[in-house]
Amino acid sequence: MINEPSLLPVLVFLAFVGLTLGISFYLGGKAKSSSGYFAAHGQIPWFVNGVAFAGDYLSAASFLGICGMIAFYGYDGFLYSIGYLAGWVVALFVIAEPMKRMGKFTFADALNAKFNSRGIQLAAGISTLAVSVFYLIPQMVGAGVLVQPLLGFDHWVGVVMVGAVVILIVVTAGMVSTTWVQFLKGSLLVLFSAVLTILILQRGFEATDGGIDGYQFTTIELPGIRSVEEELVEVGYTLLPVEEAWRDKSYYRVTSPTSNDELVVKEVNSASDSKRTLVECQTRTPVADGILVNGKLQGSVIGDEPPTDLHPVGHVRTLPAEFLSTQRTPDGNTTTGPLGPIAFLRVFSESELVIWSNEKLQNEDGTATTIFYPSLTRGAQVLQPGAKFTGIRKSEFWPKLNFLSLMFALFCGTASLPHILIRYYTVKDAAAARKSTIVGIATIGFFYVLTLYLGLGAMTSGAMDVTNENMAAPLLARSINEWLFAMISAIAFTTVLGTVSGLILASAGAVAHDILKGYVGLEMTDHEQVRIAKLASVAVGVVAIALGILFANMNVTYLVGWAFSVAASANLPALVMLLFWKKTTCQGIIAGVVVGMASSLGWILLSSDTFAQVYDAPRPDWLAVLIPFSQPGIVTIPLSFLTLIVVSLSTQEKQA
Amino acid sequence: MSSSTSQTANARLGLWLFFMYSLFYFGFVVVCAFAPSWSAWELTPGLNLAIVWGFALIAVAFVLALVYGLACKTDTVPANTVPANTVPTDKVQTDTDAERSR
Repeated sequence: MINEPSLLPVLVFLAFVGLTLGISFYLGGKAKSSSGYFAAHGQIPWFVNGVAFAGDYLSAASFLGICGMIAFYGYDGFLYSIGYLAGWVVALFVIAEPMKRMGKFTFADALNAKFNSRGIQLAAGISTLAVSVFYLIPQMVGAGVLVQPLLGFDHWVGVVMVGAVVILIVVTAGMVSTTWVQFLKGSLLVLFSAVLTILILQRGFEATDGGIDGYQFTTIELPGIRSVEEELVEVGYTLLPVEEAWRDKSYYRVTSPTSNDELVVKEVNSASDSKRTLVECQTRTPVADGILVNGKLQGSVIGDEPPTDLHPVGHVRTLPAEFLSTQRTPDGNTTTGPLGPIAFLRVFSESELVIWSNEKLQNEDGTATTIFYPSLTRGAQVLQPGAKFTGIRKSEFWPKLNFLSLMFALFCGTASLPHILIRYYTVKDAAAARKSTIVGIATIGFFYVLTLYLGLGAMTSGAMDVTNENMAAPLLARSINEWLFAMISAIAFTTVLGTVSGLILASAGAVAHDILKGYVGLEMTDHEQVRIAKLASVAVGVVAIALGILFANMNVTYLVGWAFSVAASANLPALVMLLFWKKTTCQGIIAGVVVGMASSLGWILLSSDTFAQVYDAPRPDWLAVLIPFSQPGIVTIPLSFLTLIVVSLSTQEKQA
Repeated sequence: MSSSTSQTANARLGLWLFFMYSLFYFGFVVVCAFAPSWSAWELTPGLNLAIVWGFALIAVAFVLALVYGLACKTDTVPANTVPANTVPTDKVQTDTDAERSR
């Protein structure tokens, strides 16, 4: 959709970014040595560090991606919330304390504490780099998404802006400022999400005929005796020619007898068998001189009407019977008024909602049209798993395994993320590491409970952009109040800044400390090491910008799921075995990290999801035999464990 | 010595809690994957099994984290108490040693 910038959000936004940069510059002046740059001298208070964990972790993916996925698919987005939080249990109970005791600056230090091997340093450094870059992609995509409605820029401008600001932050600052900025943002994000949730509950639900722009979508009821075409003509519609690909999928193009507008309608399953129902769809076709939306050029102005655009969607059509006679809005719609958190879920499950899905069709002239179509769903249906992970409702085995694999990777992934692991070095001892993790779990858990309400609130707000799931949370805020929209967008954007700087810092540490100093054996003074790390930050930042533009249209949380898979496959087996198995050898760790990283990356790059959504190309059949599902975790994590064990056993030194 | 015992005790407690939570988590995941119809079962109107179990997974993670935090023996506590008792005697000994050598 077109996004018109308004002054207020821009001002709030600039104030926020300015404040963030100010803190970075001020504190950055204090971190000159390498232990200050990478680990904040180990002097961050545990409570601050705990909330900073939340700031690091509740990234663009959590906020934008999960809300978006819940807003478009319901419960399945919440599965990510559950998985992301469960991962903290692994981090706290298994990894936190030993990590704190073993390491100094980076994840590779911890792995290498026992063996002091250049090989481990290199393998762990590269895996840190790979995971960080993978995790950077969704953050950058999220940044672009936020800037679009806020400042009215194109997606790529947002990506470049974030990249530039973050490079500036990291180069001038380091872990001290990053931590304080994360603390600030972590608290504000949770606070404002809570405010937003309270406002959603206050607003309750309202039964409407369409989105917030007031446009009423057409529904055509036909007797269902003869062909669709004949019956459409009979009630006054003029049929327009459609391509074969459209007809096969029950799409028709017609001219309305009342308004003379051109409509695309789709036949849907009717409530009663004897009748036939057709619903109005929305279309989007990129052409040479712009984008056609619903048959007209996007942004074109006809008469006094607002510029042509897709209509915002997502609304409640009917509320439970108890509200039908009681409450009315000034427009005459039924409304529930304020609801409690449990009543909210009950009313939602008993209401009928209109939610939108999409389908992409190739046209004969080489263009491709995305058709967005509504479907009427009972709320209770939306509150069950299976709308996004459709596989779990089927009887086949592979789709179910795909789902298990994702949930397994989310569980194992948190404790293997380098930018989370380095935060254990910013506090003074193991007890502080433990306490800050508990604060982190409390903050993050509370936020994830809120995501369900934010997502369902967005789904029924009438403000959703059919073309972009990731925009759900900011658009929801805008539908309530412009101020709130400004605050939420600014916080989310600074959250992106913070997470990205944490990731870039982790990558820079990997390059300067692990690879160049540890592996290449470059002699560096403390000062030089910090300078090399800053140069590395710039390079990683540029790569991240490029990837952020490339992956613009994927759900950010889905991308994060992949980063978790790579992290869990490459890092977790090495970390766990080193802590709990005495026979682990240096060679075993190197082999485990390399095999876990290579297999999970390879699996993702060759998966059917990547072929469909990134390469946009057909996938060779033989790959389907080799890689029958998209999520690698359930195969590659055990594979990495197995490699580590086998190599360790075969390289045991003879005990005297 | 005392710090390594507390480390082992903490690690054992951590692994137990981890194991308990894993069962709870993977129980949920397996039900979602292989018996999705169960998750629609409503405990009270609006609160189906998927939602209640999901919220519970978040709440239980926090409760177990608190249990762990309270039950864990801290390295610094024994490390501080042990020297507090031994330091004076050590000092006395070194003093007498010094006197003897003199």
